[in-house]
Formats: sequence, C-alpha cells, structure tokens
Amino acid sequence: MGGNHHPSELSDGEVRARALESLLREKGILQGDVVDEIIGVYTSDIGPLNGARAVAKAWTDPGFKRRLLENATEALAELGIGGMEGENMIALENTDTVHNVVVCTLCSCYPWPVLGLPPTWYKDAPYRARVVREPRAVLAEFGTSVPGDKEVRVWDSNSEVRYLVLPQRPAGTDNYSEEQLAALVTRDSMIGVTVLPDVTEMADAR
Amino acid sequence: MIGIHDLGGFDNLGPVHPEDGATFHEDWEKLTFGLQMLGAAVGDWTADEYRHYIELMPPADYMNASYYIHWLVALEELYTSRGLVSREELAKRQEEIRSGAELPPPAPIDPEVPARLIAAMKQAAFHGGGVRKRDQERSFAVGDRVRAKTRAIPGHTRLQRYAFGKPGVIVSYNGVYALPETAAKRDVETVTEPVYGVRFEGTDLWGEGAEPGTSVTLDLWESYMEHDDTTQKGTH
Repeated sequence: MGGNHHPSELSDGEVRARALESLLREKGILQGDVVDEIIGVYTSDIGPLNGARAVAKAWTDPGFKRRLLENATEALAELGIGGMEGENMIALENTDTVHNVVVCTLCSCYPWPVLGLPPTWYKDAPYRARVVREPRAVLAEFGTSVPGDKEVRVWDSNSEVRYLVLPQRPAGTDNYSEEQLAALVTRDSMIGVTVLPDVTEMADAR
Repeated sequence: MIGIHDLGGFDNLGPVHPEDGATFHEDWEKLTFGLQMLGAAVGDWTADEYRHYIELMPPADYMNASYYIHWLVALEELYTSRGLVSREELAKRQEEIRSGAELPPPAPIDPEVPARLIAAMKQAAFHGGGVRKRDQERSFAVGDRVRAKTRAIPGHTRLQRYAFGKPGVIVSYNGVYALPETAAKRDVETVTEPVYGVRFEGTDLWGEGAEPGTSVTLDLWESYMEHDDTTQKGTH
C-alpha cells in the first residue's frame, strides 16, 4: 500500500497498520503484492453482483428458487458462489406478508461471497443497536415503509450462519431478462433495509 | 462476558447513516483488511478468538474507535501472541513511522512465498473453511418452545444479553458448529453443538414498547437454551 503522507499527518490507524505491515515484511512473513491481491478479490471479484445474479435467477427459475430456499449454500454453489463468511447460507424470502432484514449486533457478520464486504453503516453501533428493537423505524430511515400488517423479521447473525434476503420482484418487469433483472437488485435490498421499486414508478420519477 | 460489543437494544447511539455505504474510507483500512486475510494463511486463530480480543477493548475505547481500529487491536494481539512479531518491535516501529525515520527494508522476496499466501487466501475467499461440523445427536427440534438461558459468564459468548431469559420458538436446525466459548480459547478443547434458529417476538424482548408485528431470530447453540415447559403448558 502507498502512503507518502508527511509523518505528522498520520492517523493512529495508519501508524498501527503500517507498523504491523512493515514488521511482517521485514521478517518475510508478508511478501510481494499479497495484500493488494486479496483486496482486489473483494473489490473486484466478490461483491453484490453475486447476490444479484442469484436473486434474478430465483425470480426467473422456480426450481432454483426452491433450491435456494431449501439449501442456499448448495444453490449458490451451482452459480459458483461460495467461500469465507458464506459457508452456511440461509435465504430469506420477502413476501406480501413478511419482510426480512439482517444484522449482526455483536460484531459485523455479513455474507461476503454474495454481498462483498459490509457497508460502514452496517458495522456501526446505531444500526446494530436499533434494528433489533425498532426495525420499522430504522427501515423508515432507509426510505422503506413497511405496512403495519406486514410482519418484520429481523435476523441477528450471531453464529456462522449467514443470511441473504430474497427481495420481491419489482412490478413491471415481466418482460425482463435475467440479466436485466440482476441489474435492478441492490445490495441494500439483499440486506433487507430497502425494497426494490416498481419499474414503472422509477420511470415516472425520472 | 457482558461487553460493550453486545449492542442490541442500546438507546441513545444516534441515527443510522444509510449514506455511508462505503466499505473503506482510507488506504490503511484496506491494508488492515489485507493483514486480517493474511492471518487466514499464516495464523492459526479462530474467528472467535479474533472477536474476543475486540470484545476485551475497554468500553469507552471501543465506542470511540472506528471499525478498523477494532481489527488492528485484535491483529496486534494475535500476531504477537503467536510470536510472529513482538510488542516491543511494534511499539518501536510505530514510533519510527510517526517520526518519519527510514524503515528497515523488507526481506528479499522468495517468489514461492507470495504465491503460496495468495493461493491460501483465495482458497479461503472462494471456498471457505469447514466451519460446519459433523452432525451429532440433537436435544431440540423445530417447533420446540425454548427459553434462552441467562448466561452472565466470563469470556467469549455469542448469546446476546437482550435474549437472556426470553422465550422463543425453534424455527430451523442450522447444523453443528464449534461452541464459541471453547473456540475462542487456545488451551481448551473445542466442543461442538447443534445450532438452531430461534424466533423471539418483539414484545417478549422489549415489552410494551416493542414495535408491533416484529420478531428477532437468533442462532442458539444447545448450551444457550432450555426447553420452556411453562410456555408449553399455557398453549396446549
């Protein structure tokens, strides 16, 4: 990693991370571009596009959807999706009567192979503290209004199980291809803090 | 332990910031992530040992520090505990960096080393490790009414305080996993237990102030709960 800052500008985090890196390099434990390589994996190869592919396939292929809801780890493996922090996946289907939202109150557990690394708000204290207690209020802060007669299920990821929310397919997408559908699926909708807008509504809003 | 990390239900922590959706803000955060992943290749620690070092941060420090500082706290503990670097070396190197001193050069590159490390990290990233253990006898079944135990125990646990003593219903069987209390300790043999998804109604967790029509589902190891005969009698 680079770092041409004047020493006086260095933050505590930068000093500590660089000191550990420097020692590991001096001892030969860390060599070459290993760190950049692995960051590249999680900034280019693994991310929410994986989850979006799975969601779009579930919307268009009833057999895949059934397998995803029965054993998400195996169904995702069919698409070549799997790995660390996603070894045991459960898919949660949003329906007309149930909305699902995922959190890790104890740390920051998150399904890396399908969604990449978590956004800052997911790791910060307010979301972790509040979404288990007042999920409707937190969802509203994401612009998501869940009708009072719709059940809200929060899933607190405290074990090695990781959760993927299967959002409801937006209205107005009957003629969409799987690829077009995948492009509509957002990270936040697969965490469950947002729902996907109807396509006609989106067009009207423009 | 009842620690500051156990945040579910806390008041007065301010609003959520949905606009802050980035994973990293600064380069050193990426570097820290990389050094954590390097641990998958050169370290022998479990996620639970890693988590517990973060839980042991003094509460005020935990709340004031940004996310990747938490990781650095754990990484410094882990890399020093395995003798890969020493505390003294770390302190000295940090001071050298702060003062802008010239740092010792890296060891000469042996091309086999980065290739091996990258392969190990990619193996973890794309294939993971075997966190799920062999099936074993179960004492609970889907549909059982249970009660989370009140477990104010020292050391690492993954039972949230907000569930202590609360009644719930088992909604899924999720497989057999290492018990975090044992996986976090190097000198203790790791015990495995079946884990279940247990649903708690919002009103049972938070009382009259709970939002209507809400629930929280947690994953509970068998040691974390007991059959709830009182609720069962009331419903049959």
